[in-house]
Amino acid sequence: MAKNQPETIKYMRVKPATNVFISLLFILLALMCFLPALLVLIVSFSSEQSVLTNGYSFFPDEFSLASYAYLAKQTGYIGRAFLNSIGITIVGTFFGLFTTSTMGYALSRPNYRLRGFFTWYIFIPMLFSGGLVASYMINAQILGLKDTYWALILPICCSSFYCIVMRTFFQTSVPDAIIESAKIDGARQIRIFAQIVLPISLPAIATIGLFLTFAYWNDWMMAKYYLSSNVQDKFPLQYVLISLEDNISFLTRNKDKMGAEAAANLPSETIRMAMVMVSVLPIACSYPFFQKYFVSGLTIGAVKG
Amino acid sequence: MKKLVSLALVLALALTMTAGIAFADAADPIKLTWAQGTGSTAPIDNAIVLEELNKISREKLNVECDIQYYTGDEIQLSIQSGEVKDMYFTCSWYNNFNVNVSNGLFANIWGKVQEWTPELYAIMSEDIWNLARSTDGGLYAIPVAKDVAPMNFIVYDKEFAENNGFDIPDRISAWSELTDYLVALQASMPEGQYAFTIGGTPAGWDTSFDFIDRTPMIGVIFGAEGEDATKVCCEFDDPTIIDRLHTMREWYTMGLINPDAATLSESSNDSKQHHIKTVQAWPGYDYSPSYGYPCGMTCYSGPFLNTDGVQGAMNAFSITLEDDEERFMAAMKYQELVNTDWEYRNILRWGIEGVHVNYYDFTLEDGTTGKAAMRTDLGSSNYAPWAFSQASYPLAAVECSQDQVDGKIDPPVINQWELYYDAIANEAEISAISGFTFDSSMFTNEYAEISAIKAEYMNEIVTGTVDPDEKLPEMMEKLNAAGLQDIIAEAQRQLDEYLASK
Amino acid sequence: MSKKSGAARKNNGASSGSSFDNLELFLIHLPTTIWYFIFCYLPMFGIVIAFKDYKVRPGRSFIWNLFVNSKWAGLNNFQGLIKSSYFATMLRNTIVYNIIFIILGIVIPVTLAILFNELYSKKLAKVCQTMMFLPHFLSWVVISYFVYAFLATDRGLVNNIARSLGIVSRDAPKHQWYLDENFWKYFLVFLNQWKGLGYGMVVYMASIAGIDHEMYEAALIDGATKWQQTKFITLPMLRPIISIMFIMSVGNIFRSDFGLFYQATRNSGSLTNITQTIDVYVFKALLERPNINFSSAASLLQSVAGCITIVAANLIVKKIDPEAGMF
Repeated sequence: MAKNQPETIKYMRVKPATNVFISLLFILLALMCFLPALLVLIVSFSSEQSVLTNGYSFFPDEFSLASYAYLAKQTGYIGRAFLNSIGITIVGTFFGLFTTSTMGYALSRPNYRLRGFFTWYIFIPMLFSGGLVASYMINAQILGLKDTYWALILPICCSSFYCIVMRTFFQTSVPDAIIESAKIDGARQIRIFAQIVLPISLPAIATIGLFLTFAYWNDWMMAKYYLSSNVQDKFPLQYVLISLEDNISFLTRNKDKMGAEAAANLPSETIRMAMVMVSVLPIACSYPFFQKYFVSGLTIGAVKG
Repeated sequence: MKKLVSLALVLALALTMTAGIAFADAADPIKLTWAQGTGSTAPIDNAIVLEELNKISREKLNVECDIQYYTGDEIQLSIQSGEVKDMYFTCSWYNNFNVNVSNGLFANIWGKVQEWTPELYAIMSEDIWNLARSTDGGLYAIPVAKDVAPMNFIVYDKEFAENNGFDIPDRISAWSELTDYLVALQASMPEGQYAFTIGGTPAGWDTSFDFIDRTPMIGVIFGAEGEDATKVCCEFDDPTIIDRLHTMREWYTMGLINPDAATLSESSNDSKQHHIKTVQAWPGYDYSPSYGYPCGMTCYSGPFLNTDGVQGAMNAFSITLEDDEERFMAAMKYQELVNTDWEYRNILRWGIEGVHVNYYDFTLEDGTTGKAAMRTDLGSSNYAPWAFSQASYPLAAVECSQDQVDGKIDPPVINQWELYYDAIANEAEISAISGFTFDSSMFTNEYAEISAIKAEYMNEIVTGTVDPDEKLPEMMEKLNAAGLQDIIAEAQRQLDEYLASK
Repeated sequence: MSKKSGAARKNNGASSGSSFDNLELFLIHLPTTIWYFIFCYLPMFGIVIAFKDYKVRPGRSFIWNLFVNSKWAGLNNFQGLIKSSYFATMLRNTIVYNIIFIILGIVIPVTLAILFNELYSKKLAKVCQTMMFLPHFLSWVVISYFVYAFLATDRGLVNNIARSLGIVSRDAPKHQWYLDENFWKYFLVFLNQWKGLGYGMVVYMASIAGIDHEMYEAALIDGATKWQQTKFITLPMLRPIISIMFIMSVGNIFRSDFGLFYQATRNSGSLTNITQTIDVYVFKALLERPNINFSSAASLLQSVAGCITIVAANLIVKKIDPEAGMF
């Protein structure tokens, strides 16, 4: 089989002309998506005065590192938040993958008797929610999660959407033959799941892992409601950045009621863009790590009958 | 002998017991919580500042206070989920004061503030305390002693005015008086800059209206004669307001206002552009240090003393304190401390001396001396909470700039608060409906719709982006369909009842 | 490990082996089940707020406040939404945009995912795909700054470039894009697709990656063209995931992306007619006066409506392909 592969691959290709067309299409789309990120980068390196005078521009009058210097001065504060986010994201993603894949696998087995019931069980919360106050009451007052890291991790680690996507992946990519043969050999479900199904479902794991990683990295609402000002050392990065942003918009929305106090210490435009770069770059760099798992042709372990 | 011994024993026992109680009191300070407002999170150095503050309050009152910071929606969540703080910052746009009073969240301190904390009562005049009261006569929060009678100014470039022969008086009655100045200013500016750069509605454009409730925009017209003085109407029935809208439209069409003003939420921070700005301030306040160029100010509205202004920033006590007199008294005495103790007030406002702020002594021409404060870099980034929500402004040191410390420009007006309160005692127009607060709890659905309608029209009308003669009637039609007239009728009914009972 | 004979297993696979199986499967998903109970089902009593006039007595617990202190409001809380003069506009905007987004949100990413695998240079493909992911990272607030840089009336790039290229005469007044409803109608769709592109592709790419290559090789031996391979192998293999994604998007048909309609448009008043979705309306209505009854009722309405549509969509999908439904 291996010997024939290079030839078959050649025959599996599209015509060269089509390839050029597709390549151009992708390059165009990539550029359209890249330009705004580039603008953010350029503005973060522009001088504040040139942004104030001319607005955002790809060719500012003056470049300056002042915005990054400002952020660097806050290393204690922002640096700590950065580390928090990394820890929370990693732990959260593991929890999320665990809960999502276990549920997805169990629901994917066609002969599981409680399958229908539990599909409804996870489906209802996808649509219906008790609201912020009820959740807050449970999480803060009954479970005692306030001011802890767990408040940032546990309440959002599982999502019905991901469970169902996982279920579909397990149903379609894992042939029943494998599972049946394992069962005939006397393997338990848990062994089948852990040792057979998971290793060949890496595209699914990578996809959901990717979504979870981004969700945790970008989340700030949990911190806003559950971390009080007593635990500033637990703040994640996005919360620190969003609250700097919020401070400005709140001040300006209520400026007529606040008198001579208002506009004094607003972070400038360039610092805002620098903050965006700081929060986006690390996560953008993590993307290729996930990407290799769902690009076709590079998955580990082809399925043989 | 035996009797003497037993007497001595009893006395000794009694003494030990009282000493024990006294020591117990001294050993366990009463712990209070105070929910302050913020636009984002607590100041970074909140914990160390609180430590210093608690040292003072422990020594003077045996009280410790944990000052926590909440944004508007966070404090809503806290209250709705059943959490209780002892003291709350509250006003019309944060943790809505009137709604909370209607819902019975705050304790009535009228009578108690005179009896328990006479020093606190003494910091503001009787008139102001009366303005802070609600319709039922109760006082449900302590107003922050600040510019309670709002005065609104337009700040302009003093040098430009002088060099071009514009003599702008200290007071103007209509914004249109500045049109010529703006045209000249615009002509001198490069393309892309505007004489009146704003982001959304300009601050203070409607403060000359005596508001009862800002959401449906109802109130009475300040200074109206006879029956009209207590006739509830919408702010667009006020000719001053309509006049201002026309002026904004005129300025917009003349190109004096930035064209995208309606979609912006903040105006430009660019200090190189000397466009005019609308601000709320007081005589004696000088914007030159903040803006970086010599500024002149002209007043277009105020000082007005009304309930809405006095209730612009207050600190209330939770009604749960009424069950525990010891705590209640401790909390009130704590507020008294904040409003009367110089050291406590200034640490609360500026931070720790030497770390967040430095104080400088100034002497004015007339011999007045006093301290002014200047934040350090650390102070600006790590401890800069809202000051208007805390307590008495006159007690806190005024701010100065480096140039003033170096003597390059005029010293700050140290006694500006004395001047201010003198000015309002003499000049302030007192509202005809003072002490009236509107109970709007039956109109929650109407308020929701009205909020949404305002979001569609207000920015564009007030910034002059659209023609008010066209869009204003459209908006009014929608507002009336949503129940505005019903709200006005009910407010009139409640007002008449209140006035009759006085 | 059970020592039952192979024959016994084959015969009784359905009964005894499977009840053991069932128990094991149940144990496997038990942690997740408990998670759902604690974090989703316990708080669900909060839905009751939609039918009550919630009043707080300080010092009492939330449950006491909700069940003892608050009176029943019947359907009163729903009036705010249903009787609003914007109700028809809200419904129209929310549903019409969502239908467009659902259709485009499947057609475009699926097409791109399939094309992606055909590129000769895997390196180019990966770089492009990574870049296409970037819009997902930017928040709508940041995107609104970027859009403003292009569409600002006086300093915006679009107006100025149009002038310097002579498309628009220098004397004509500069076009105010933020007041232009006809432009934003289409631009909103573009922005939505642009932001969701890279993200949407991932699910389908992962599905394609799981397709057995042998099937393609077999088809090739039978002489199938690229197009035939796509039509008879790739698309049918993607059908389950496409139908699931379709059904789940339909469940959100009454919800909308707040950031897109409110933040990207900078809350321009003139665009209200096309940006007023249910979520945007609720936000604006509660801006000045928070109202938990109202928001709870609105949310319940969206949930119930979404539930009805998702069950309906599921039934329709099952009629076409009984295997592909959600239940």
